[in-house]
Amino acid sequence: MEINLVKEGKLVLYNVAKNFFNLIFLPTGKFTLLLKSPYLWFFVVYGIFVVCGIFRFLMFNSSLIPLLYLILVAIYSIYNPFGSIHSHRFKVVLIPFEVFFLGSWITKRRDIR
Amino acid sequence: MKVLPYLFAGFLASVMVGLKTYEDMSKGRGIYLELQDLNGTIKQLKNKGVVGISKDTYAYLIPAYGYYKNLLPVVEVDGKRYFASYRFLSSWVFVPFMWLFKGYFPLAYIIFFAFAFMLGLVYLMEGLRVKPQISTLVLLITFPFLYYHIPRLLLEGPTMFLLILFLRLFLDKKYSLALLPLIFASLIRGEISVICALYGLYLILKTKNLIYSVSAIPITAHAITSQYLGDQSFFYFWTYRNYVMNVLGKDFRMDEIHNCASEKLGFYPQKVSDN
Repeated sequence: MEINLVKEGKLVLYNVAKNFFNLIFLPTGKFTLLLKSPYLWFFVVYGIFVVCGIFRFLMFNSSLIPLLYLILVAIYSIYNPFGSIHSHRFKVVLIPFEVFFLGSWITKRRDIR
Repeated sequence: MKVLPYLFAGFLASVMVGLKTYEDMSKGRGIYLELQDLNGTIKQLKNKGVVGISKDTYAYLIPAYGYYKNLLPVVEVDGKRYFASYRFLSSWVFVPFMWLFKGYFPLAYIIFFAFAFMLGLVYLMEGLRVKPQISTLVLLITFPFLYYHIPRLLLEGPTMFLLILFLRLFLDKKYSLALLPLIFASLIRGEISVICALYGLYLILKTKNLIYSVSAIPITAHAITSQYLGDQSFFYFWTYRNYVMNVLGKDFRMDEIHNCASEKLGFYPQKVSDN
């Protein structure tokens, strides 16, 4: 079996990036339905809030928990480098971290390290 | 006022479990699983199913049955003993429920983890000193992600509950204690073991205490298991399947994969039901 490193490398990079994006912003992975379904926009808006929460967390607290979260997202993204992953199922495991970021954004507590 | 988010979380957990149970029972699935002998259990799982079942449940319940009967992931079929090697590191999570609730364990499992997870989320936000109204709103926002996946006989429920405990202990600055739920979560799902090892490394660098190198045990266990007993998460299998289908553009027969997995794993439920 001959492997074309450039062609397949590009495909892998594309899929990993797509899976990464899907995990954070669009766990259903249905881009084509995005404009038709307001339900999918809910996921996108939620994802934007989470990313803002991460940036806010990094401004005032340590980078440990965001780092652990991003590593987990990266692990799930490479799970299937030649196709799509069940991002909605993996997304569920990320929810505790995301609630943590959203909560730390809203709270006035500043002693989280 | 502090009780409000807990009450709301309880309500949402009841809705999740109620909807799932209703949906599964209308498909003819039962709430009781026969645990007298493995053949009967597998037959019921294949023919009728049970509340909260999915394709992956099948693989987890075989070693769990071994733990339940023999305290080891060893099952006896027609007088022969088999080591149920696939996912035996993860399956222990079902066993306490099997011991306590016998055949009704599927219902007990989904109820326990639906409530534990939802109440745990409120507990986490309480640690962040978030207003009760905001906690309630966050529960409502995250509900669409959760209602389908939590009340199932899968590993997401316990893993996420343990992750919540880790985050809460981290918030309370109990850094050493926070490692404990992370180790347990790592023994359920392999990917968490990477997080656990990194957190352990952080603790070692912070405290200069080598005791935290215990955090490397789960990742080592997963690596050894995958090396000698076959791919435990089917990572290579799915990658290869998608490579053949998406890159080479060929068909990939599922029964070929099953046979391959069966040989590699040493024990596969299909063999038992065929006897």
